Parts: sequence; C-alpha cells; structure tokens
Amino acid sequence: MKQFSFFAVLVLLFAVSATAQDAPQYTQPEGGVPLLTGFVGFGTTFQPGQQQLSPTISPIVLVPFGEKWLVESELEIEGDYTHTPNQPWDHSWDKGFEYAQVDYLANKYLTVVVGRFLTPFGIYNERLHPGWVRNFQAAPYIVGLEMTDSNGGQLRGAVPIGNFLDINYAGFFSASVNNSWEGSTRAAGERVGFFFPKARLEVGTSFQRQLQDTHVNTIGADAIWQSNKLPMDVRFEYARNRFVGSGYWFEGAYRMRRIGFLKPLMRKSQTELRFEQFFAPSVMGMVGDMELPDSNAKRFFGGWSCWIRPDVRTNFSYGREFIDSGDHNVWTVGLTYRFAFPLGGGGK
Amino acid sequence: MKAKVVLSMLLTISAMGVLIAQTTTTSTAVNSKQSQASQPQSAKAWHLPKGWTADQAYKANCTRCHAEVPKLNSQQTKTIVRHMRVRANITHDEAEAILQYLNK
Repeated sequence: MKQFSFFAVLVLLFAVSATAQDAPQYTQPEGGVPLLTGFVGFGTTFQPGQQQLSPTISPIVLVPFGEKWLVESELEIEGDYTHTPNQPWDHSWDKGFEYAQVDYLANKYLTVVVGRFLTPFGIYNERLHPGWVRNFQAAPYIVGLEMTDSNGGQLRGAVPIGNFLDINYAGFFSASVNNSWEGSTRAAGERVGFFFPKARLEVGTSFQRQLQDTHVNTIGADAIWQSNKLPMDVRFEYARNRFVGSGYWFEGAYRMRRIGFLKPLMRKSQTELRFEQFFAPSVMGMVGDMELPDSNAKRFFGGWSCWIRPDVRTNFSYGREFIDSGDHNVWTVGLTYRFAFPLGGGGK
Repeated sequence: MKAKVVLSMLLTISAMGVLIAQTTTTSTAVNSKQSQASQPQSAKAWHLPKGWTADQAYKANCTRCHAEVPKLNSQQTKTIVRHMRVRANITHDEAEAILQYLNK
C-alpha cells in the first residue's frame, strides 16, 4: 500500500516537473489580468419573535498566469445580528475561505484543481450560492446536508458530444481538516451533468461518500432549464443522506421585461418562486451543528428582484415555513453590489 | 485503508491526466497556431451546436444562472471567463465564443 502511494506521489511529481516549462509565468499583455471581484450584501430577515441582519462581504481574487493557470480565492465574512424580544442584540461574525485553489487548464476537456474548493455537488453550492446570484437570501434546506467546502484535489471539465450534448464532470477527494477558517471532511465524490445546449436544459447527478467517522453516502440530482421562448428559468435539486435526511427544492424565475406597463421598472425586474421540503430521518443521526430543521419541514417563498444597476440588485421576498415547532411567516429584504476591479494595471 | 486507496488512485489519475494533457496540448498547440493563422477567430472555428452564434453560447451558459453583468475590458473579461469556465464547467469552445461575445 505504502509503495503504491509512494509510486503515485512520484508519478505526480514527475508530471509536475514535466510541465514545469509551462509553469506560472505571468504574461499580462496578451492574457487576462488579476482581478478583485465579489460582492457586498446586506440582508434582513423578519419572522415572529426574531429580526436578523446579515451584512456580508465576499472578496474574490482571480490571478491568471499564462494561458493555462488560474489562482482564485474567495474569503467570506458574514455577520449575524439577531434580536429577540426583551433581549439585547446578539451578534457574531463568521469568517472563512470559501475557496483558495489553483486551476490548471490542462486541455480542452480537463482542468486539474488543487487546494480548497467548493464541493461539486448539485448546482446550488458551486453556481448559485453567491449573494448576487441567488434568488432568495435563505439557502435551501438541503444545502445543510451537503458538504460545501473541500480541501484536496479535483479533476473536472466538459466534453461536447456532437451538436446536441455537452457532458460535464467533476470528481474530487477531500482530506479532513479541522480548522474554523478552512475546515473540511474526508470524503470523495463526483457530479456529472448533461447539458443540452439547444434545449437549454441541464440535468445532473451527484454522489459523495464521507470517509471519516460514520462512512455514509449522499446522493443528489439536479436540473436547470431556461426557456427559449419566454424569459424564464426553472431549477431543481434533490439530495438524500440516510442519516441526515432528504429533501428537494424547486425554483422558478420570470424576467418581467415583456410586461406592458411600468416598462422602465419591469425591464429591470424579476419575480421568483421557490418551494422546498425537508424530510428528517426516522432516527436523527449526525445532524450535529448542521443547519437543518429537526423535524419534517416545508417552505415556500415568493420574491421580486430589481436591478437598480446591472451590478446592484435589490430583492424582497415573503415566505411561510411549515414546521413542527410552529408555522410562521418569513420576510426578507436584501441589497447586493457585485464589484470587479483590476489589480495592478487593469489591461486594455 | 480505503481512503488511502482512493487517495492513491486520485493522485495517480491526476498525474496521468497532467501527463496526457501535456502531451496533447503540445501537439494541438501547433495545429491551433496553424488554424489561427489561416482562420479568423469566428464561431465557425469553435465546436458550437449547429446554427449557434456566440451570443447564443452566452445566453445558454451564463444567463441560466445569473443576470447580465457590467461590461469590463477585454483582459478583465478574459480572467472572468476563465474563472467561469472552471466554476460552471463550460466547454472550452463555448467559453471562447462567450469571450468573443463579451468583447464585441
């Protein structure tokens, strides 16, 4: 076993040395330039007996090297100010690296990623979670049962098949890291997506296996469809873990640019709907500090977003949660500003 | 034990991947330089679905997840497109088409 690991490390070192001539050499004039991007957001949530304010700043640094390398890192700093009746404001700040990774675009079909990365499971975690992208401030229940960050390596890419299909894939291994800034669980997993470009439909399946403590599998399925005829899209994700629970969310958004009245406002607006359900396991297993309901729950949201400018989005939503501890309404108001500034130079 | 096997396999696979990639990129670099010299950088040079243009590649890949983004200069856009190619697993050719569309 040890010899096998030694051999693997040796081959990897050889491969890295073989590519040394292609190793990071910064070529600013023809390639991309380093950027500081990300978003600043401020969200408020009101529900009976509790008001919550959530300021967030998520700076992302992108540094390309040559034509094949990209170093990228996102730090997320999120505040949580909560007020309950007859109590002073309680507050805390969460800080952590969402990702800090080196990408090597080996060829058209393969990218090698090393470092800390967003776990490729489903569509929400990698693609939809940034505050300026997500339609609702509240993350779906099932995000709580998925691993969000991993430390290790992954192979990923996309392969076009004829004129009608792109297959995209990501396989990863994560080591166990016990650190509040960049913790992760030892695990391995994958996601495979089938994107039909002309139909603008992508369906995917995900799998991950936890390789520490209780070895347990999490499986998932997802889909995104964008209409060719109407300015609308629909998203869906399902996940199941035998010990933690299962659930799904379903979301639709309609851009209102075709509405015939209040045109200046409507062409910058979008309405959104989400319905989701969580099924708690019959015997509560390893919920621990996961942000999951402790009983079966369902929730719907209806919302409206307006882009004051292309980089400033405001949204309002109303939702109702049905849960054993008491059904209640949830109101949210949020504002996000997505920024992108060049670092050193800025290019042409 | 199983974790060590998985780790070793992943290490070996990634090493092989890097080696294969190195070989293929060296050989394709010559071909692509030749084709770039003889062909203009248009949608025809990329493997896009039949009848597709660069703006369709943009709409199908980018606006599926997020709204249109403010315009940046060409080198800044190149960085963002590379980031998104990795993040959203976009094919190489569609990413190139998107880059062209955004730099119009």
